[in-house]
Formats: sequence, structure tokens, C-alpha cells
Amino acid sequence: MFGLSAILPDFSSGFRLPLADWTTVGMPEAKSTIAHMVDSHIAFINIVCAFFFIAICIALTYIIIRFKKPAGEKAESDVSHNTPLEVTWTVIPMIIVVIMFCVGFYGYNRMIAAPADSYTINVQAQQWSWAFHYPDGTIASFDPGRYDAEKNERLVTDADQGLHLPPGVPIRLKMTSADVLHAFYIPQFRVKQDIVPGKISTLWFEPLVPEGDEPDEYWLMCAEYCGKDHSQMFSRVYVHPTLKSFEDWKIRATSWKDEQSWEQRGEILYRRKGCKQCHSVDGTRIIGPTWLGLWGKTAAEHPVAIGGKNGPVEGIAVAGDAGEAYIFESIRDPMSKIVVGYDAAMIPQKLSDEEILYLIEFMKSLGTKE
Amino acid sequence: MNAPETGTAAAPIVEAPPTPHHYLNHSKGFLSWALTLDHKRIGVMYLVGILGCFGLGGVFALLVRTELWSPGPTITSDPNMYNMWFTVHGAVMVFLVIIPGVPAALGNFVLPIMLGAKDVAFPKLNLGSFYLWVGGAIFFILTLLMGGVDSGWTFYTPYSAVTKTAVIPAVTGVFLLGFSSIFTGLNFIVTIHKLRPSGMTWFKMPLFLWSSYATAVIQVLATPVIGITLLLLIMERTLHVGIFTPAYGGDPVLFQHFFWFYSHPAVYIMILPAMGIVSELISVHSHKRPFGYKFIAFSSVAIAMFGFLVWGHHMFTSTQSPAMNAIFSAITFSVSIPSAIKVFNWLATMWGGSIRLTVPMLYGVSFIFLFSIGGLTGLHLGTLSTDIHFHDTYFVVAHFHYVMMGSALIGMFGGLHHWWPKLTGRMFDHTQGVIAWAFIFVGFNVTFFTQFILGSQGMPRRYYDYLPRFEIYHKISTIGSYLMAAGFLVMAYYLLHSIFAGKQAPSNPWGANSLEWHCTSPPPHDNFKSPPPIDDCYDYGGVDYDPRTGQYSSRADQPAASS
Amino acid sequence: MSGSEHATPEPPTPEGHGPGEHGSGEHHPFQAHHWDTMRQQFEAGKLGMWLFLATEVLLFGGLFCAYFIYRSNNPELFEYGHNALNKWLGAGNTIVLLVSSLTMALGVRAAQVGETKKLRILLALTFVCGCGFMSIKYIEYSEKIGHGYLLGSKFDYEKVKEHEREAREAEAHTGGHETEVFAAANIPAYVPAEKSAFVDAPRGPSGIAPIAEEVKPGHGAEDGAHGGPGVLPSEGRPRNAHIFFSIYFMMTGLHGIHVLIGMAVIAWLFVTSRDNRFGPSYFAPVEIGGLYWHLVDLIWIYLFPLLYLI
Repeated sequence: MFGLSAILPDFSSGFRLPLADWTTVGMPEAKSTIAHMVDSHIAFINIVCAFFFIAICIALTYIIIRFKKPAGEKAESDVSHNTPLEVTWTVIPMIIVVIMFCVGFYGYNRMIAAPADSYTINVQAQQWSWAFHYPDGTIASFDPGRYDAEKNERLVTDADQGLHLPPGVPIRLKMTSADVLHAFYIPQFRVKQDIVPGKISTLWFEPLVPEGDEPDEYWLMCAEYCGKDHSQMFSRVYVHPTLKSFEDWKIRATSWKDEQSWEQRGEILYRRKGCKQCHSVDGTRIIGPTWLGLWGKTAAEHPVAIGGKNGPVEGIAVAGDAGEAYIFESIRDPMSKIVVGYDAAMIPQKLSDEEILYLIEFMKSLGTKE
Repeated sequence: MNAPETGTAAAPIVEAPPTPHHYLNHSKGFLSWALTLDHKRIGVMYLVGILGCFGLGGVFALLVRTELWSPGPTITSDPNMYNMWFTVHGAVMVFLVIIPGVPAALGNFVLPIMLGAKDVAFPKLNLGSFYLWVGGAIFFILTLLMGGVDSGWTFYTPYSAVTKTAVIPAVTGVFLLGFSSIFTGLNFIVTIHKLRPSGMTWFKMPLFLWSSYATAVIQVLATPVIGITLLLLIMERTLHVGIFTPAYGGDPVLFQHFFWFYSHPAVYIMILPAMGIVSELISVHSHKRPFGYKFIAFSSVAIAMFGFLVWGHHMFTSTQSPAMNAIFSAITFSVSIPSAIKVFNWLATMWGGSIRLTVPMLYGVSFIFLFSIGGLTGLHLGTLSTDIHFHDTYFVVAHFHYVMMGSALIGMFGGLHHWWPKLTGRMFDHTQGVIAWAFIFVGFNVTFFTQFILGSQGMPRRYYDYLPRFEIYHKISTIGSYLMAAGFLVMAYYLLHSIFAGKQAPSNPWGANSLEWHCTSPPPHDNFKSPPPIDDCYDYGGVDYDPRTGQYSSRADQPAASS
Repeated sequence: MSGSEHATPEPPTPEGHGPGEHGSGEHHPFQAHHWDTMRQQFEAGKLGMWLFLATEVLLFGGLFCAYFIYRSNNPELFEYGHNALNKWLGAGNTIVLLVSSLTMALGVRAAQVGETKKLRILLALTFVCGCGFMSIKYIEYSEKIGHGYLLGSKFDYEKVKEHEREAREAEAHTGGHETEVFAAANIPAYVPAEKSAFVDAPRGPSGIAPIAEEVKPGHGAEDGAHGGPGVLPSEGRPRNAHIFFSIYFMMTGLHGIHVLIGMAVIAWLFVTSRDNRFGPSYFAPVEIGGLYWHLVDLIWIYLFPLLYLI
């Protein structure tokens, strides 16, 4: 794309400027192959800025102290201009910003082109969740964690979900969004990319291999405002220390059928398939109706609007075969019956028949609400 | 003149028995204000409205900062509420306060007097602009009554096209404010071209006029684009025309291009007039002519021109092509040059002057300090490789607050204090002014410098909840915002107090020499009885200080002096 | 007078403050008090209008920009859409507007030389041309709306399908050659745009895709303006045909609003010219109103070929 870069030196190890580490104090840990390069650029800019800023402050202070005069005194000088001086302080910043642009440009050049041997993961974003599809068919849901006020920490809720990454390979992300703009951001990797609905956004990075036996953990965040739970669009990110550890995780992530009981399988699916984003199991109202006490409702307790939010209202009993058929339909075609008092906000779910069966069993196990 | 003899509607006067005739007591009654064509009264009405909206925006800012005191819910458990707060804060501050702030309020008051003109070119259009502003404000209030809007002040599609909040009234408000801004700009361009007295050549104009002119050009040329963009957004929401929303075949990134084609130049609509004010403040309160007048004047024009070519730097991560990113990055750096020139020239202006640390000068000096930080951190964001990390984090929030509040608003408050004696005919209390300034200056830096650290650490913006490791910085930032609020309350107190009980202001309290200081304070209805003599507005040699009265007087005014 | 003129609303005068008595007192009755000469006032008014015309051009500029972007990304949309428009009605409108510009220009001349009667006749003619333009526009719009060619999600695919079949049959009947666009014989049911990405996303939340095969192209992209050629030959109608009509209705609609404003200005000039006020020393309102009318005409001169001919 840039013919110019062909004739310039090859910075295959990154266009990293030789600057000391303290200059980037305040940055989060640098944990991808480009992060140190980016940090060195930030350090370079920081140094330039600090130099000018300190110079301006010293000059300002000195001038105020020296030329502060009582009222009525005339100015010492009446110089109107000094062209050579002004040209000097026009040209010097110009040279500096040209250098700065070049530094940023070469760094950016290295950040945009993914290496050919990258490991590709499909990231699907939507309000307000992430999903990660691996080339071999493994699908991981996101793990937004949960804020624990007592410990004052954000705790992981399901270590088998989230974005798990193999060590030592460049990762290329192909990202799509189902609804509005989102952005993929991991501060430690110094990467960010908006995800635009209707387009495929790409991003690549190569995380540093963890030093110990445990995976390195980070938070992935949504950096483009996307509505109500924008600030809950976290996901835990794991960089595995070995390929084996990564493969072991894949087995764990896909082994929900190891659970024998249908309710338990349903519960895992409830967490992993994103149901919990909109439906609570403890009676609280989120976006959709809670599942607590849903099973067993009589027609009088459960009015639904047929064919859309403003359709004719009818009572539907959630029990027996008809209840199962109702839930099945509501997952496949949510618009057909909308529970009165809720918005028509659900997207048709691509779940297998088997999976829906397990979810229904899970709902049944939740019992009736007091 | 049939003006009342004993006092003004706004300020009963105790001493000084023969009340001079001026624009405030020129005529009385509600209609004499509501239908006035006097640029000074229109400016005052703008000022009252804008300061009121500033208070409103400030309340929302404090709500946002208070919510961020701790991770998780603090004062509301509804993220939608928080999203509404920051959206309203941003939209009110940008569209109702900062963009009209200097040009429409202070500019309207000062610009014709600085030119020695009786009024702006089109006084009726000027009043029309004011009512368009009022219309915009009413639509914003309507938005609040309808439950607020949560799309962010940038109204990015597709979210703004699908959110269930009151986007349409808010967007209509911005549309009206846009036309208010266009008409103000149009009026100023024609005024400067056609009402400039023959003795005042372009290079004899005060620098504030240069920057107002540059601003007006941007207002006229950039604002229509946001107008059509917002109309398209309304069409998108109501009829799904498919220009901006992908569900109907549209392109959300196109909206960003349209939006920033206006909104980046809009940043210069905000900052350029403030720079013009600071050029005046530094010169007047150092009692020395501006160093490098032409460089300062041309840098305003250069900023206005380059400002049109850099909008893409808001979109480095938006799937814009890398080649476009590189081009926009390169042009972006070119904007930093004229900004740097201005800072150096202001410093050189102060060098060798006779500096008086009056309240306006404190704001002027703070501007240089804060704008340096705001401008220099722009380099982090203009550089391609580093912007990727900083984009959409608190680093950006801090950067644009340093520019839009620390510079544009601080410049506006500097101008407000500078021209306050001229506006109201009253002096404010110096000590209280310094106290308020100190609170605002310290509070501002505590609030926003912390946010640079937050952003570097990777805290994304517009977050209702955040990772606990950011908590300490958020707490510091919130404390800073309370300090700032305290400062503004003190300012509101002493300014209001001065209207009712302030000392009578002399016609030239700071020892300036531009034309607005040659008429009485407050100025008479027609500004000047006879066309004022045009001389060098930055020649302070003819302005003498009388130690007995503590007042300045200009030798040029002696024969015609009325006070 | 000078002391209280601001306390009461003034009679509407074309510029500025109305009769002023500051300064010499030998002012023209329509010279506002803050101007030194009529010439200065006239030039200022004209400069102001030119600046306003610049903002108008930029207002339309946003739509032209959208037009060019969508045209370069989806030329087939415009190929399809312009055939659906009636170029004869468009051409008629062009002629009507060009004539009105001529009468307006002659009217300005008449005002300059103070021939009030001629001015009023010409203004009336211009106004009638404006009415003619709007009438033709009305015929055009109601025809388009009747056949379901509407903007955005209001685009009625069923009606359009019906209409296109009729058009094809009529053409086959008369033995005329079929146009490229209407060539397709059998139009299958079309999925309205409303049922695209938001509702019919090919996957559910949290990645409930059946299998994670190779990365799926963005679902939106299939309907998107940037997802490749986007022509579905079997349907005979490009995807997102509604976008052309969105652009068509918004551009011509905004232009139509401008025509109405221009007509209001002309009507106002016609009424105020009753008292012989326009003459060699004062014709600014006519000239400035004329400038506005010429801009309205000029924009149409661009709209006509862009939408109807190419």
C-alpha cells in the first residue's frame, strides 16, 4: 500500500525508539509484540511535550515575576515583531512534528498488516456481549466478570469462557457487529478497532508468551459507546502459556455435555449462550422476563401480545406440552408472542433442538415464584 | 434623549447623581429587550442564556463525576440515567454554551464597538439568531422533559437511529442552533467587511476581530453540513432512508465523516475566538503591543483553513483506510504549528511589558498554561501509532476538556471579566475574583490531568462502571470537579453582587486603547456620538494612569470626555 | 424617535433598523441608521446573500456527497432508479425553472430602472412558473408514490413489483424492446429491507451460530452499500433500491422546500412593490431575492441530470 516503505529501513522488530522505560511510566503493562514500540513512541512524544511544556512554564513564571509592575508603569519595550525569531519558532515545531508523524506512520504501518501465518478468530459483538468463534468450531462466550463491592475487585465468573488465546502466534481477529458500533480494546496490547455493523473489521496482535505456567489474564473492553450496558461489555482474556494448555481449555469449553442432568446442561447453556444478558433467574427484571417461576404460570398470569408488541393480547399457560411448544417458539421466533409489558427486543436464537430442550428443563427446575 | 434620569432597569445607582445615558437605561420594559435590535443588548441576552446553560451543563457534569466516585452504582443504579447525563452534559456544553459562547455573547457586544460601528450589519438577523438559539434551548429542555437523550453528543449511528430516547428533539435543537451560529457568522463577516471604518485597515484591526473573522468563516462554511447530516439522521430514524444505518443498506462511517466535517472545525469555532480574546488580554494587561501581530493574525486564518482538512483524525480506528489515516494524521500535525506560534507570540508579548495580574490577566495566563497542555497532548492523538491506544479513552476526554473548557471557556471567562466593566458599568471584586480563579484553575487541573493518567491506563470513556483499579483516579477527578464548581459559585456570587453594589466602572479600567475603551462604560446606545478617530489600538503610550484616582485615561479622549 | 425606536416593533423594512435619524438626516427612507450610504448598505446586503448562498450550497453539498458516495459504491442502484423516473416531466420542470430565472432577471432590471408595472408583471410570471414547477412536481410525486416508489422503509416492494410487471407487459404488448433493468422475467418474493440485519441476523447473541465455519461475512454487508456488487439479477432489481428513492426524495424535497421559500420571497416582493418603492436608488431586495431564486434554479440544473439522466 505504501510504496515508500519499501525503500526505507526494515524495522522488523518494530519501530521501537531507544528510550528508557521510565519515560512511559503510567502506561499499563506492555504485553504484545507491538506494545513496547507504541510505548517508545508515547515516550518520545512525552519527552517533546515535557520539554516544551516545562519551557513554557518557566518562561511564563519568569516573565510574570520579572515584568510584573505596579499600576501605571509603562512597558519597557515596544517591540512589534522580530521576523527571524518568529520564523525560527515556526520552523522548529514544524521539523519536530514531521519527525513525529514519521515515527507514528512507520509504527502504524507495522500495526496494520497482519502476518500471513496468523491464527484467525471470529469475534462477534452485539449489545452487550462478545462471542469468539475459533477456526476448529469451538465457540466461547464472553465472561464479563462481576464487580464485587466487598473485595473491590472485578471477579471472573466463568474461567472456561472468555477470549482464550494460544501462545506465540500472531492472532488475527475478524470482527462483526450485529447491531451498533462497538470497539475491541485490550489496553495491555495497545490495540483498538471499531466494529462497524455491515462491515468486517480486522485487527491483529501477538500477545507475549506468559512467563509462568499460568495464563496471563487481561480485560477486553468495548471502547465505542453502544448503549445501556456499554460499561459491562468486558470479557476476560487469557493468553495460555503453552499450546497444550490452550487445547485443554478448548476441550473444557466444549464439554458441557459432560454434565449428566439436563437441568445442569441447560444451566451451562443459559450462561454461555447469552440468555443471562436479558433473562434473570432470581426474579429481577432485566430486558426480558425473568425465568424464575415462568414454568407453571397459568394463562391468566401470563398475557402475551400476538405478533408484536401492539398485537391482540391473549393468555398463554406455560405448562405441559403446550408450554414447551410456547417456549420453543419463543426462542426460535421471539416476535410471534411478546409478554405484555416488555419490548420486542429479542433476536431469533440459533440453538439446536437439543439445546432448547435442555434450556426448558432448566426453566422447569427454577420452580415457581413466591 | 428620553432616557429615565434616576437609574437603570438592571442596576439602581446610589452615587453619581446625573446618570449618564447608556444602552442599559436607553429604554425600559420587557419588549425593549425582547425586540431590541441593539447588538449590545442582544449580546447581553445571549450572555445570560449561555451562562444559564453553562450552569445546567455543569450540574450534569457534577452528576457524572459523582456517579464515577466509586465503581458500580453510586448515585443511580440505572446506566441509562448515567448515559443520559453525559450526553446532555456534552450536548448542552458544546452546542448551547461553547460554540455560541464567545462569538454570540461577547462578540456581539464587543465586535461592532471595536470597529467603531453603530451596530452589526444586519441587526434583525442578529435578533433572529438569538431567537434561533432560544429555540434550540427550548428543544433541549423538551428533550429533558421527554426523558433525555442517551446517544452521546456525537449522535453516532446506528445507535442514535435505534435508541428509544428523545433523539429527534435534541437533533432539532442542534439544527436550530446551527443556523443561529451560521447567521451570527454571516453577520460578522459582512460587518467586518462593510462596516470597518476606512481608517482601519485589515492590519489595524484588533486581533480579536481577526479571530472572530476566521471563526465566522468556519461557522458559515461548516455548519450547513451538520444541518443536513442531522436532517438525514431524523429521516433515518423516522423513515429509515438507509443512508446511515446498515440494516437498511447505509454506512455508519459516512455519518462519522459528515459529523466530523463539521464538528472538527467546530472545535476551532470554540477555540479561535478564545484565542482572540487572549491576544487582547495579554496585550492590554501587559500594556504592550502584541508581538508579531501578523503571525498571530495569519495563524488564526491558517487554523481556520487547516481545520477543514483534519476531520478524519477522529476516525483512526473506525475502519477508515490506512492511507486516509496517514493523510489525516499528516494534515493534523500542520494545525499544531499555528497554535504553537500563538503561544510563543503571547509569551513574547508579555516580555518587556508592564504586567498587571488582574483577574482577566490571570485567566489569560491560565489559558496559555492550559492550552499548552491541551495542544501538546493533541500530539499523542495525532500520531497514528499512539492514537490507537488513546482513542476513546479518558485521555481523549482530558485532551478535549483542556482545549474546550481549559482553553475555550477559560478564554471566555477571561473576556467576560475583561469586558465586564464595559458590559455592566460596574467593577467586580478583585480579591474574590482571584479566589474564584484559584479554585477553578486548581480544580480544573486536578479533575482533568488525572484523566490523562486514567486514559493512559486504558480507561474507556462513557463508562458507567469501571475496573476497580481506576477508582483512586476517579475519586481525585471528582474532588477536582467539586473544587471547580465551588470556584464557579464564587464567581457567580461576586459578578451578581457587582451588578447591584459594584463600584462604578471608569470608561477605561485596564488601560487599554482599542475603541471599545474610548466610549463610556456602559456604552451609549449608539456606541459613539461621532465616528471615533482610528489610531493604533495597541499603542499604549497615550494611555495615562492617574495614581490619585487609580484610573486610566486616554489622551485622545480628553477633549470629548463625558465622564 | 431615535430614543424609543427600539421599544416598539418597527414596520418591516428590507434592511436594518428602518428609518434612522442619526447623523446627517438626509438619508434615504430605507437606509438603516448604522450605514453611511445606500451603496454601502446595498453591498453589505449582497455580500450577506452570497454568503448565505454558500451555506445553502453546502447544505445541499451533504446530499450531493451522499449521492456521489452511493453512486460510486452502488452504480446499479442509480441505473435502476433513474429509469423509474419520468425524464419528460423532469425536463419540463427544467424549462419552467429556466424561464422563471429569465423573468426574474428581467424583473431585477425593471426594478433598477424603476419600471414598477413591468417589475410586478415579471414577478407575477416568476411566481406562476414556481407554481408550475410545484404542480409538475406534485404530478411526479403522486405517480411515484402511487406505484410504491417511496423513500426508505416506506418503499413498497409489492406495489413496485406489480407496477414493474405491468410496465413490462405493456412494453411487450407494444413490441417495444425491454430495458436492461426490466429484463428479468420472474421476480421472486423480495425480502423487504426492514427484515434484514437487525431482525434476520444469521446468528443469535453470544455466538450461537450453528458451527464456526470460516468467518462469515458481516450479515449486514449482504444488504450493505459496501458489500460488493449487490445486484441480484434474478430479481431484476438491485438490493436496497429504496436508497435511490431516499436520495431522490430528499434532494428534490429539500429543493422543493427552497422553491416554496423562493416563491414566498417573490410574493412578498410583489406585495411590497405596490408603492413604487423600488427604483434606481433602492432595488436591493429585488436583486437579493433574485439571487436566491437563481440559486434555486441552479441547484435544479444539477439535480435534473444527476437524478433523471445518468
